[in-house]
This record gives sequence, C-alpha cells and structure tokens, in this order.
Amino acid sequence: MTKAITPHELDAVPEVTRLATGERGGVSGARSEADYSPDPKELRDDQVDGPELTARLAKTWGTQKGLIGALSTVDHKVIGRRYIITALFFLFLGGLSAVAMRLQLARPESSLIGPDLYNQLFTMHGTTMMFLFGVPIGEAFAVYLVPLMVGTRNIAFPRLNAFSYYVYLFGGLMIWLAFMLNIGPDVGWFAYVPLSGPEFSPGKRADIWAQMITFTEVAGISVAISVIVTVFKLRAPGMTLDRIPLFVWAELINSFVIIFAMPAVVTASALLLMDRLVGTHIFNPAEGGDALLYQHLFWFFGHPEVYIIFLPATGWVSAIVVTFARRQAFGYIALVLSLIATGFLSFGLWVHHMFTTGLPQLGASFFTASSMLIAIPNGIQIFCWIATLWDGRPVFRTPLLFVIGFFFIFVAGGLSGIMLASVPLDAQVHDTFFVVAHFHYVLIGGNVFPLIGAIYYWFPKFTGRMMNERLGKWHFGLAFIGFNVAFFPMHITGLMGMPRRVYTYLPEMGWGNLNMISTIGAAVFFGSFLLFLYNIVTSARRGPLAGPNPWNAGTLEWASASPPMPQNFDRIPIVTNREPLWAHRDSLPVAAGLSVENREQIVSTVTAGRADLRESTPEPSIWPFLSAVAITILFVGSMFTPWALVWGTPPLALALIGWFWPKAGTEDER
Amino acid sequence: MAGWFSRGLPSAGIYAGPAAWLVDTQFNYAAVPWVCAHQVPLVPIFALVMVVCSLFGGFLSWRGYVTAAPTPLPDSTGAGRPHRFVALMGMAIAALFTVVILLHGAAGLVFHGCER
Repeated sequence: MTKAITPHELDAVPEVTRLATGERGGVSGARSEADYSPDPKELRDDQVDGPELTARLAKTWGTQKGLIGALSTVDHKVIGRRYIITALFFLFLGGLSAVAMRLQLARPESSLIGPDLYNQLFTMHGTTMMFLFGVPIGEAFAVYLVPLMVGTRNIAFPRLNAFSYYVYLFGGLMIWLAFMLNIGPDVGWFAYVPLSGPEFSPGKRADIWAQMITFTEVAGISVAISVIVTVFKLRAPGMTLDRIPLFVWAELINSFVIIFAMPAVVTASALLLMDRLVGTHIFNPAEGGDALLYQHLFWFFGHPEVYIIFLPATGWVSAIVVTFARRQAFGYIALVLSLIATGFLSFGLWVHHMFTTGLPQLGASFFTASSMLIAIPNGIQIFCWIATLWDGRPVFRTPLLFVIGFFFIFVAGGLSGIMLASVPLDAQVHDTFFVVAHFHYVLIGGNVFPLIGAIYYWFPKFTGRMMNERLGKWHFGLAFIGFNVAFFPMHITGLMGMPRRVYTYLPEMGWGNLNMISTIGAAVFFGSFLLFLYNIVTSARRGPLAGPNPWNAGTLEWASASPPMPQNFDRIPIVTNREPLWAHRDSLPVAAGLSVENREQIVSTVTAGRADLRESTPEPSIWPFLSAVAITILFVGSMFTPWALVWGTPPLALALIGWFWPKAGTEDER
Repeated sequence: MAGWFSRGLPSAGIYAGPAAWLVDTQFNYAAVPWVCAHQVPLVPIFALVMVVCSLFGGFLSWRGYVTAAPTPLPDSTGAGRPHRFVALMGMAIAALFTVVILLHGAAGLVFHGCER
C-alpha cells in the first residue's frame, strides 16, 4: 500500500519536496533536533519493511497483557474504545431513566413512581446525558480517531489521556452508585440554588451532584488539552491547516470550547460545595450572597455545553456526508468558518436561559441578538452538507440515513430555538414541555442521530467487521418515527401549559392523551436502541470482514488496518491533498526514518504542517490509574469532611510524583 | 505597525472580531443601569467603536491575503496554502462579528434601558 515519494508526484508542498530530497527546511541558520543525524545503531523504518516492520512496530507500541498491562496502557485506541463503550453504557442508563419517567407520565395521577424517586430520575437523566454521555462521547471519538486522521501514532500526553478516562469512569460510577443507594441527586441537572443549598437540600444528594461535576470536568479538560496539542503539533507532514479533515476541525474547536467553558461550572459547583460543607454564604442572599451568580456561572458553561455536544456531531456529519456523496466537502472554508464562529458565539448566549429572572429588557436583547445570529453559522453548515450531497452521487447506506434524519430533526429544533430566543415567547413557555421538546430535538437530533450514524460508519474501523445493513435501516426507521412520536407532542403539551419536572398531573388538565402518545413514541425509540445493541453485539462477533477501507473513504484513518495496529501506520503518511486516499488511490506517499525500537513520532509545525522534530512519546505507566484512584478518594472523602483535603493530598501527591518521576525511556537507555 | 499595514496579519480577523464582540457584550450588559439612569445612547456608540476594531482585524487579514506569496500552488482540492486560508477565515469572521456587534448596537436604539 505504501511507497517512497518522488518529487514529480508531489503537488505544491515544499515540505514534501524537502523530505524527498533531504534538503534542509526551516529558518535559515537555525538548527533543531530534526537536523541531527539519527543514532546509526538504532533500527529505523527505512531499514526494514513488510511484515517484519509491522511486527516490530506492534511490539514497540503494543499494550502488555494482563491486568497491570490493561491499566497501564496509553494506546489512544484502547482508551478511546473504553471511553466510547462507557459513554454508550451511560447513554443506556440515561435512556432507561427516561423510559421510567415516560411510563409514570403516560397516565394522569399515576402512582407508578413517587415524587422523590421522580426527582432523582430526572436529575440522573439530565446529569447523565449531559455530563456522562454528551460531553464524553464527542471526546471519546476524538481520542480514538483524531490521531488516526492526522496521521500520527498516539495522542499527545497519552498518560493524561489515560488518567482522564479513569477519573471520568469513577465519577460516573460514584453518582450511579449513589442513585442505587437512594441518595441520588434530586435537584435537577443544573442544581439551582437555593434549592441545592444547605437550607433546602440537607443530606449528601446535592454534594454528590456537585462532586460528580468535578470528576467529569477534570476528565473533560484533560482530554481537550491532549486533542488540541495532537492537532496542532502531531499532524502528518504536509497536512497544512487547510487540509485538516473537518472532523478534526470540529474536535479541535470543541476542545477549545471545553477548556474555556468548563472552569465556570467547576467554579459554580466548588462554591456550592463550600456553601454546603464549609458554611460559606456565597449564594445565600440572606447573608449578602447572590443566587443569580450561580445561574450566571452555570450557564456560562451550560450554553457552550450545548455546542460541546453538537460540535463533534458536525464532524461526524461532515465525514459521513463526504464519504457517501463521493465528493469533497462543498464549502470547506465556510464549514471551518462556521465551526469557529459557533465556538465563539456559544459564549455569548448564556443569559437566554435566564430571561425570566427579571433582567432589564435591554440587557436581555443582546443575548437575543446573539442567539438568533448563531443560526447563521449553523445554517451555513446545513446548506454546505446539502450542497455536497446535491452535487455528489450519494449512496444511501445506514450512516447517511441517520445524517438525513439529523437534518430534519435538528432543523426543527433550531426553529423552536429561534422562537425561544425571543423574550416574550420564552417568558410564556419557560419551564414547560415546549422547552423539553426543543432541547430534545436539538440534542438528540444534533448529537444522537449523527452519533449512531458515526458508529455505523466507523464500526468497521473499530472492530474490523461490518454492521448489518438491514438491521441498520430498521433501526433508523424505528428511531426516526419513535423520536418524533415521543417528542413532537411535547411542543403541544408545553403550549397547553404542562410544566416540566412534575411527577404527575390531574386528568382535568387534558394532557393525558398527548402524554400517552409521547410514552408510546419513547418506547419505540428505546426499542430501536435495543435493536442497535443487538446489531452491535452480533456484528462484532459474526459480521463480514471489513478490510481497511470498506466505504472507499478519503481520510487517513482508512489507511490503517481495521482494527488498527498499535502503531496505527507502519510509516507516517505524507499528505498532499485534503482527501489523501482519494488523491493517492494506489499508494500513499510516506515519510521514512523513524525509530522502530522506541515510540518516536513526528512533531510538525502548526500552520504548514512541516516535519520539525522527532519526539519520543511516553510509554505505558500504572501511575495515571493510581493517580485517578487517589484523586477519587480525595474527591469522595471531601464530601464528608473537609479534612479529606488534608489526608487525601499525600496519596495523590505520591501518585503524581511517581507519574512524573524522571524515568529512562527506551531511547535514553540506548 | 507599518509592517502590519503593508504585509497584513492573516489571523488578525479571527481574534479581533470575536474579541470586539466579547468586549461589546460585557460592556453593554454592565452599562444598562447607567444608560437607564443617564439616558445617554452609550450602547450604539460603543458598538460603533467595536465595529471599527472588528473591521480593522478584517482589514489586516485582507492585507495578509492580498500580499500572500503566489506559491505554493493549490492542490486539486484547493488546499495547501494555509496562510491564505487563515486570512480568508479572518476576513469572514470579522465580517460576521461586525454584524453581531451592529445588532447589539441596534438594541440600544430600540430600548432606553429602563424597561423591565
């Protein structure tokens, strides 16, 4: 599949010419590590070829067998796979809690679920879907796919990446364990004060919610840092900024939004914990605190959160549309522009969640303006995707079906979003089922439908086997119908005045029939997921073998084996086109000269993607796992006593010292 | 500075537009009580200042675009010239955020700040 490049095959990338001719690049007179001669005793990938090269690299980059090996792995694919499976597990738990709520609301005055459990259920549903599924699933795909798509061998800071997974897992398990012990949070997914404050929520329920936030935010920010550095510094030679795949752009912008948004909610939850556990009065107006400050802090994170959930989906959609339209993306520049603009604008909308808090109309109008104008970049994206399909030769396989479902559902959700950006309408329907309908159209349409399409699309890469297409089409039909039957009537129940977060209602309200229809739709929707699960399990065991590139796609992840070898690529590809596999159908140009015996990667320049350095990446280590255990003990302990910050710190410090203690790598030993 | 005017700065619009909008949003939100008390149309005036900042970023991006080296040639997908790409992005983002800032400013023409 690979061959050495020759200058006449190259188009317009001086870097490639430089690599081919051996001519020095960079700033004249400046020398970097890349200029030094490699160690002649070290085996390099231009000295060995074929299966032997593959086997040697797999040994160098592989994960050791056994429990310690599994817990020490820093392979982005292993961590990414765990992330994806864990996030999908939480998706099913969140879905089950939704089904339970729908069963309760199917009939008026139903006594299936009492008010206390109902409060816990809607809190667990929202918290799980937003923090344990929505954010992590986008990052999970980034962890698995971004290094493959930019043509490198591992994610940047792989130990930080491994650490983030364990922190996320422990945080999610903690809150669900608490729910099973009947001390699950019951204050809603945004836990407004004063309800979540010490006066109105005694006990540990609100503390568990707040500390779970800390877990997921530590994990989320850690992954975001790894993704940003991977995209900026580990791209394959020749992958200039305008050759980065749209999926990678989406994950890059998403990571920036995460880094800037999440500190706000960590601040909110930490201050809430201080009010509850230490006795401060930051959010207590009676003592000079400010309850609205909590809402500002929360929604300064909370609205970008919507886009944190949506932006990765735009990457999935772009990848699927291009592959199945059989043409490059229409309006690449416009699509990247939309991603960047959406990322920025998402930070200027948060007050539209607070229109009913008595703000001056002039102040609210600024956020109305921004809320309406964010429709511009989102609209540009939709039109670019439609144009790509229009001008291409679309092949309607299951991934594309889910993308088309996304178009319908997300646009419908966007339209009700424009309505809600208007203060008078928002004031009328605030906290009603109209809002519930709107954000489910946006979030399920904008994330879950593309996600399912993405799983069908990349499943062959993850497992080496194809999913069942017939079951996939049934899945799409059931999901599309079930979703709309479940959520469209909620617009009407909301307009009829049904508030959200009530565990039952009187028959005289006239909401019974619509609620029954919604519950039937929810059951169908949930059934479609059971079919999906069955398809995943059976296809992973008995699906037809996929081969490296079953969809004939153009991006670099399809140049690796399915599933990829530990080293991803035997030789690092050189990128000369936005769709490298379409430009070089028979043989991909590659760079040679990296070590076979230690974990060496190419570090490239940010803008032009020029190969700049050879850099060793960290080897497997148990310390990230131990650090995650230590930080879990500290976080959980601090909910019960502030002294946990004292006795919990030494174990964490020891674990971090072990993690960062200078150790001789394979390269140094040589 | 003279170098900026002649050669441009391709990424300027990417930072200047959103930064101007961010400052405009924060300033406007904080200025509402003052506008109500003094009845001075500060919001549209400040918006115009921020529009100039945003457009200046777009101008520097445009200079960066027109003065970019003609090489390397683009590949078959039109890619491979990242500085031009960044400059185009800068111009477009500056233009988009100019519209957003103008809309913020227009709110100051409709409301006098005391409405609840």
